[in-house]
Order: sequence, then C-alpha cells, then structure tokens
Amino acid sequence: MDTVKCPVCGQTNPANAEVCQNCKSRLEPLTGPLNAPLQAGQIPTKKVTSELEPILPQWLREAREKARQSASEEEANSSLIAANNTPTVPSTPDLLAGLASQGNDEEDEVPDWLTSLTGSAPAKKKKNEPEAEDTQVKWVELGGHEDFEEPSPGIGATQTPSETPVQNTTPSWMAPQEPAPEKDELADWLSRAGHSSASSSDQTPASSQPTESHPPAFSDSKPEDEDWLRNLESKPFGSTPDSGPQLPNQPTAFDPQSHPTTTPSPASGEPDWLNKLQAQQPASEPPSPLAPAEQPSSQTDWFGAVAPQQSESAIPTEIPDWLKTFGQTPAASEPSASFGSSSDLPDWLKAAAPQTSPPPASSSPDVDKASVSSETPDWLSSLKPAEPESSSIPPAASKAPAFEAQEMPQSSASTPAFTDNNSTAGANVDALFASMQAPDWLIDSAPKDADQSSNETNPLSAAQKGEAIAPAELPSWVQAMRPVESALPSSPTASGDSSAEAGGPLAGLQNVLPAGLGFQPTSKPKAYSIKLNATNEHQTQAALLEQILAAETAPIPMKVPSVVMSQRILRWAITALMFLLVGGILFVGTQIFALPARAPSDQTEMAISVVNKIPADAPVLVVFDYEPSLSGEMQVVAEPYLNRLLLLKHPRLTILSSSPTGSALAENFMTGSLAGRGYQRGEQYIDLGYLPGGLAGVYDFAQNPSAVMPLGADGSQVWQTVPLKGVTRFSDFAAIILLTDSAEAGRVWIEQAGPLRGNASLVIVSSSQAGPMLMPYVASGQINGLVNGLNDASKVEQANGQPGSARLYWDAYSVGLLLAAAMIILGGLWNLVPGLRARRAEKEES
Amino acid sequence: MPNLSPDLVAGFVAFILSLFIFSYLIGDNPLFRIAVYIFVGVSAGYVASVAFRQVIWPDLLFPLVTGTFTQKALLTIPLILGVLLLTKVSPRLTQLGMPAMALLVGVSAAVAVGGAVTGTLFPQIGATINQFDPHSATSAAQLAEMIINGIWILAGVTTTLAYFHFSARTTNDGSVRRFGLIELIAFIGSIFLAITLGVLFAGVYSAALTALIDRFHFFGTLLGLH
Repeated sequence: MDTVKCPVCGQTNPANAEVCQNCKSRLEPLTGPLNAPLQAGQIPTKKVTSELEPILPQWLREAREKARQSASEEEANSSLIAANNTPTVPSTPDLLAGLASQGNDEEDEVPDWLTSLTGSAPAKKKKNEPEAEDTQVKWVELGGHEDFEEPSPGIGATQTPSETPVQNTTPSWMAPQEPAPEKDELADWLSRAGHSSASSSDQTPASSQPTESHPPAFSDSKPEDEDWLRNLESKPFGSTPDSGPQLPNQPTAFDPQSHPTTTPSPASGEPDWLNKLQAQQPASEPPSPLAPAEQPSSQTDWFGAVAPQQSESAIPTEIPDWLKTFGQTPAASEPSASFGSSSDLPDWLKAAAPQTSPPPASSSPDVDKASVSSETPDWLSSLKPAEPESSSIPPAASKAPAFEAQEMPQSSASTPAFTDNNSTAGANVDALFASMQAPDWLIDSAPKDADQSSNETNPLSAAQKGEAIAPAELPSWVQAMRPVESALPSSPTASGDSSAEAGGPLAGLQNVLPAGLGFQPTSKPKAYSIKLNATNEHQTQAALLEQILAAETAPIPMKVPSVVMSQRILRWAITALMFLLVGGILFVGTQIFALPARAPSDQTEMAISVVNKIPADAPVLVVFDYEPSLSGEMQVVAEPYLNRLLLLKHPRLTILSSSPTGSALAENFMTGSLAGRGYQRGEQYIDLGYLPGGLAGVYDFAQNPSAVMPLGADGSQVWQTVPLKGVTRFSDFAAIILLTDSAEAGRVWIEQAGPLRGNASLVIVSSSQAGPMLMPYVASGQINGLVNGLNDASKVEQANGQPGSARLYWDAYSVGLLLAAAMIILGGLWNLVPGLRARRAEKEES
Repeated sequence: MPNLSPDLVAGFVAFILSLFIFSYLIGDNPLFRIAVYIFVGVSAGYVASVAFRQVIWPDLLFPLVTGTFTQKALLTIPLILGVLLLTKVSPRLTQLGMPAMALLVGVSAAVAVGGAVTGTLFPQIGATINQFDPHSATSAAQLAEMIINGIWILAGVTTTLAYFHFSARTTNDGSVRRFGLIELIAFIGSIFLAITLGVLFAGVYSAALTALIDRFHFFGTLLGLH
C-alpha cells in the first residue's frame, strides 16, 4: 500500500490522504507563498518549490503522484542501498519527482529534457514497456538502484550490475572494445587527457579540451545519446570516427586514472558533460575516500573507472554498477539522479555542461562554485570561459566523485572559471551567481541536499559549508510553468494578497490573483497646488484686461437733447406767428403781394391753350384723384381752370375717380365750387364713380372705357346718356383733365392712358407738392398743360380776368412763404452761431 | 330757434373737428385722436360702401345673378379669387389667398414696368435729347434758350445719375472712394438733387400752407368774419 510521509511529523499516511492522520497537517500543500519575482540586482532567496506543487502542470503532478505511490518500493531500495553504502537521503518531494510518469499520459507534452531527466527510455520504448517507466519514476524519485533497471538494451548493458568482476559484468557490447588496441586514437586521447589533467596544471581549458566535441555532445537528444551508446557498444572506441566529437569526452569521463570513484554509466541518460565532469575530476582531485583503487590497466579507461567500484560494493547483480556507485555516494543519490540523468537538459544546462567537463587543469578546489557551475544554466556557464586560470588550482582540490552532484560543486570538476577560488574574480562570481537565475527546484533541492551530502561525504564541502551556495533565479521557462507567479507581476500589492480563490480552476489557491493588480497606485499621487502663481505684473495685466472687457460690454449712454422744452415753445411760437400773420392777412383781406406774372411758354399757358382748343360741348373726362386732406388746395387750384373750361366751352363732363373718396370729392366740387355754372348730374355731367384696379384699372379703362365702367356711380347706365354721347373709346374724349395731388397718380395716367388718348389733350391740375415731379412730362410733351398749385391758379384767374380764391389767398400765402423762408434762415443762423462758437472752442482747446 | 341748415351743421362739425386737429400743435391729445378716429372711421365706411356699391355689386354680384351663362362662368373666376383674398384675414387660412395675391402683384408689376418703359423712360430720354434739336426753335434766341436749358437738363440728369453710381474702390489708406471724375460729377449731381428736394419741400409746404389758408377761410366764412 502506498504511503505518504507527513512533512511535518514524519508519520506515514496513506497515499490518498490529504491531511496527516497524526498532526492533521496538509500532506499536499496547496501552494506556497508567492514570492515576488527577483528584480535586477536582488539576491535571490531560497524558494521551496515543492509548495508550488498544486500549481504545477497536470502532467507534472501526476508524475509526482505516481512517484509517491511507489514510495514504499523506493524506500526499500534506498534502505538497501543505504545499508551497503551510506544512508541515502530520502527523496524529498521534488518537482521533478514524477517526471517519468508523465510520459504515460502525454508524450507530446513532455519535453525531451524532462524525459531524459527521469531516465526514461525514449517514447517508442515507453510504449512498448510501460512497466519500465514506473521504475524510471522510482529511480528519479528515490534514486534507488532498483529503479535504475533500464529495460532498454543499450542502457541496460551499460548499467548491468556487477557483483561479478568487471570482466564478467562487462556487457556484450563492451566485448569488442576490450581487445581494442592500445594505440587506439581514442584511447590515446583518453590517456593523454588523463595524464594531462593529472599533471599539467598550467594547461588551459581551451587547450586541453577539444571544444568542437562538446556542442554536438550536449545538443543531441536522448535518442541520439543512446545511439552514441549503441555505437559504443557496437564499435570499438577507436573505430568510430562518427563519434569523434563525442567520444573524446566519454573516455575522459571513464578514465580510470581520473575516475577512481564510481561513476554512473553515461548510458543511463546522464549527459556527457557530466561524464566529462566525472572524467576531469579524478585528474584534478585526489582520490576520494570512498573511491576505489586504481582499475586494471587492461580495462578501458572509462570501464576501469567503473569496475573497481562495482567490485568493492556488494551490489546485487541486477543493479548496474553505476548504481552501485550511486549507492555508495549518498550525497549524489538524489540530486545526481535528477541532475545526472538529465542528458536532455535544457539549453542552459547543456551550455553549462561543456565547460564543466573538459580539462582537468581547470578543476578548482572551490566546491561551492563548482557545484553551482554544474547546476547552473547556460547563463552561468557562459561566464565560465571568462575565468580559465583555474589551472593554478591544485588538482586535488577538485577531487570528488564524478556522479555526486552535490559533491561535484565541491570538487569543482567543471570549468576552470569556477574553480579558481583564489582568483580575484571569485567574489564577483559569487555576486554574479546571486544575481543570476536558477531554477527554484534546483535552489530548493540541490543546494540543500548538496549541503547535507557534502557535509557527510566530502570534507572539502563540509569545510566550505560556511560558504553557501548562491541561490539561482528561476529561468524563464520554469517561471512560465508557474501560473501564479507568471500571472503576477512584480506588484507590491500582489504579495500581500492572502485571499483565496473561491471558484474556477484556481479554487483554493491563495495569492494566485492579485486583488488590485494594475489598479492600485504604486506610489502616492503627487500633490499639486491649486493656487495660481501669478506675479503682480500678471495681476495688473489681468485687471487691465478685465477693464477693457468691461468697457466693451458697457452700454454707451445716448446723448439726450436738452432742448425739448425749447422746441415745444418754439413750435408754439411759430404756430402762433403763423396763425397771426396768415390768419390776420387772410381775415384782413389785404392784397399787398402781386400775382405772379404769366409767361407764354409756361405750362399754365399751355393748359389754358388746351381749354381754348377744346371744341364746345365736347366730351371732357375729368378725373378726380386726390385725397380729402388736400381738397382745400385742389379746389382752389382747379376752380379757375374748370370755371374757364365750363364758362368758355360748356363741355360734357364725365367724372371719374381713381380713389374711393374721389367720387365724393367730385360731387362736392361740382355742387360747391362749380355750383354757379349750373351743371346738373346726368345732364351736363355724369359720374362714373370709382375706378378700381389702380394702374391696371387705368389701363383697362383706357383700353375700353365702356366695358370697364358700364355703370355710373349711381348704378345707372351712363354710356347712352348725353354726357357720354358719341364716346366709345378713350380717345373720343376731347380732353382729359386730371385733378391730382400726387405725382404718382399723374404718372400712372401719363404712362397707362397717354399712348391711348389719341388726339385728346391731357392736362393735369395738381397740388403744389406734385407739380415739380410732373414738370418733366410737360417738357417732354406727354401732358399738354399743367396747373400747379396756387401760383398757377392765380395765373389762370388772371387769364380768366376774374379774381377768385387764389387772389384771396395770395397775400396770406405769400406771407406764409416768407415766414417759412425767414424761419429757415433764422434757424440756420441760430444753429450756425453756436456751431461756430463750439468749433472755435474746440480749436482753442486743441 | 334759428333754422339749422345741413350746411350749417356740416360747417359746425367741420369747424369742431378742425379745432381738434389743430390741438395737435400743443401735443397729442384726446381731441386730436377723436378727430382722427372719426376721420378714419368715416373714410373706411365710405370706401367700403363705395366699393360695394360701385364695384362689387354692379360688376360682380349683379351679373352673377342676372347675367348670361357665359358672364356667370367668367365671373366665377374673380369671385373665387375674391373669396380667397378674404382668407388673408385669417393667419391659419392666409395661404389660400396667395394665388389671388400673386395674380394682383404679377399683373400690377407687369403693367407698371411696361408703362414705365413706354410712358416714362423712352419719352424722357427722347425729350432730353430733343432739347438740342435746332429745328424745334423758331428763332436764334429760342435756340439759345433751348440749348441752355438743354445743357442744364443734361447736366442735371447726368450728374444726378452719376450721383447714384456707387461703384468705388478701396484706396491705400483703407477708405472707399469713387473714381475722381465720377466723384466730381456726383458732387454736381448732389447739387441738383438738393435743389430738387428743396423744390419738393417747398411744394409740400406750399400745399400745406394753401390748405391752412383754406381752413382759415372756412373759419372766417363760418364765423362771418369775411
């Protein structure tokens, strides 16, 4: 039955238990506290990545679950190994514990490097032998030798446990290699490498290590590694030109001189750069206390390094010899298993490997740095070539079991850059390590285990325990696997959020999502003063601007004339003067002023001539077109002219009115002013009444008078009467006399009826106000005479030889004109004098 | 009791109303307003009665009743247009009177333009030109007088027309001025215009003064002062 140890009290619990039966603590923590990502220059701290197990990918968690289920078997194996060797460090919950089992679920999702980490066979092998994958998982989890039973033929051949002598346990594929000639190229190289690494300390890594061989060795995938192993199995070392770039490392790793301690087989999935580490360590380090004696020279170098140890250790035959070595080196049990089996490590690990493998001269006694170098990614390994002067370090300082990952750093079997403990760059390197990133699972597990193992196994590491392994930073790809941390930016509020998710795929997790991510201010907002900083000059200018604007919008008071009362008084004075003078002269009846003289070419004489030319008893059309307001003037003006006409010619009058009030005025005129002539309505004259339509009516009447005005003002048929006898057209009238007070009315009759009047004369008797506007028509001959106002009426009276109203009004009229002229002149002078004074005053002021 | 003839009553009413109108010399007062309102009312009533009695009934309604079918059919058009004109008194129905109003405006404008061109423009241009026709003069003195008058008339017409020529251009200092020659001619035209306006003002004053004298004469006749 699978059990799980409580991480708190150590009590064994069923594998499916979530909480400990003893202490009730949670066996599988949900998640650990979220750590804020490291910032540039910040020294990373150790992180317990095992607490992040719940947030691991599904495949990883399942892998770990399967690993726990096989805990009992692993414990048994580990106890067995511990009995034979040193006590094996129990496998702690590691993030990579169940890497092997993931291959069962999703082969596509499992990276190759993880597959290789678990030591599992390639995918095709996993399909055929799923049982082996479980064992691989156990191997990864506990590092027991039983778990390292590889079903793969190639790997199994290299990992065959050897209770028997090495020659007997030598796999079959090794047989062809044994008779390989001593002068084999590879063997020579290996031997030279062994000697050179042991003796020549001044040899630089670059010179001692064929650089061209590393990249292909670490860049190959696991199947290729297996092919390489198969090549090793099927071909002698010296007869494999294709593996030339890889082989130089392998023999170095298995150099018997350089590997006195047991080293795992490279075919177990261990990368060749680790093998190179193992190969270089013996050259630069003194033999480990746990390391066996020298191997027979007849064996191949790498095999010799394995065989003696296997012979000494009482490992069962089913356990490979390298596992026996693994078991003998408890410090390397778990870390090395997880680390050394990562032949398909990521690039950063691969990049680190070539620099750690080669030259023995580069081995450094600084075990801490060496351990870091063996675990560090490529960003660390890239720094290693920068310190090649590690050759000055005594080779003994790097003496450590090749497969003990925790001891490897102590033995500093890697690149010389990290082996120079006395170099001036050592301190910087430590600081650099602290600033670099390393997988947290390496930080959590490897350094801790390494410290434990190193304290137990390696005196050098124990002596240098005080110098802590520099924690590394999580690489980006590992950080990407942490959903919580990847989702949380470096926000100060994220770490302080302890709220647990209530639902969704992150239910139960704490610190997964930030509470106020992106919304919480990162700093206190800067306080800005709302007070306007304006200088006195600015304020003065602003006040000036306000004054200008106020002046623009302020209403300008209008100048009220102060002479209103004086104007009223003046008006009253003028009125009184007018009334007194005009009225007085009228009432007195003076005739002081002479009448205007007649002129032969005068328009009045023309009008008089027209009357003279009218045949007697001829039809004459008289149009009344003035307003009642001017009836007093019009009657005085028209009376002498019509009296002359009626007196001389006795015409038949036809009265027509173009204004509504004209008919009444006409009737008043005929019954008032002309009453003495004896004209009777319907007999001597006829009233057609009001002609509607304005100028159109005038035009129509000129076109056809009888049709437009068929009836008289009284509604009777007038066209058959005496006054209209013989008149059918407009031109049948002997004369057309227009009485109007408006120049517009005179123009209408001139324009509309003028062309149709034929030989009929057109005389206009107008008011004084309309006369000047009708004068051009007199000059043009469009009208045959004009009697304009009282002036022309007086002329007509003179022509008639009978004084009338015109003469009666003439003195008053003349006084009124003189008074008006005098007032205008006096008024002008009244304004001129003050104006001149004001202008003079302005000039004086200016 | 003396015999009150209609002329005497009419004269007394006219005298009272004339005094009311003259009261306006001391300012606007109810007497003046009473006289004005009476005048407006009497005039409107008289005009309405004249329009119906002398125009609507004899020219429209009577033919529609007693006329022939053709007369009735033709008179339907002015009847409809006249009814539509009555809708102008209502703001809601004022659009219905637009056709009749359009007819009135259109016909009046056309007649006015035609009459102005044929009755004023061409004859006045011809008269101005004929001022320089020596054949119309019977003697040398008359010819000289005609030429002088013609020059004055021509000068007054051209200069007055030039005064109403307002085309101008902007000078360098930003002021707007007409061409120099046009400006001079326009100045002469303004003199003629001033004289013309003075004549018109004198005519208006003369007409008003004649009316005032007539009223004074009426008062004297009524009062027996003459």
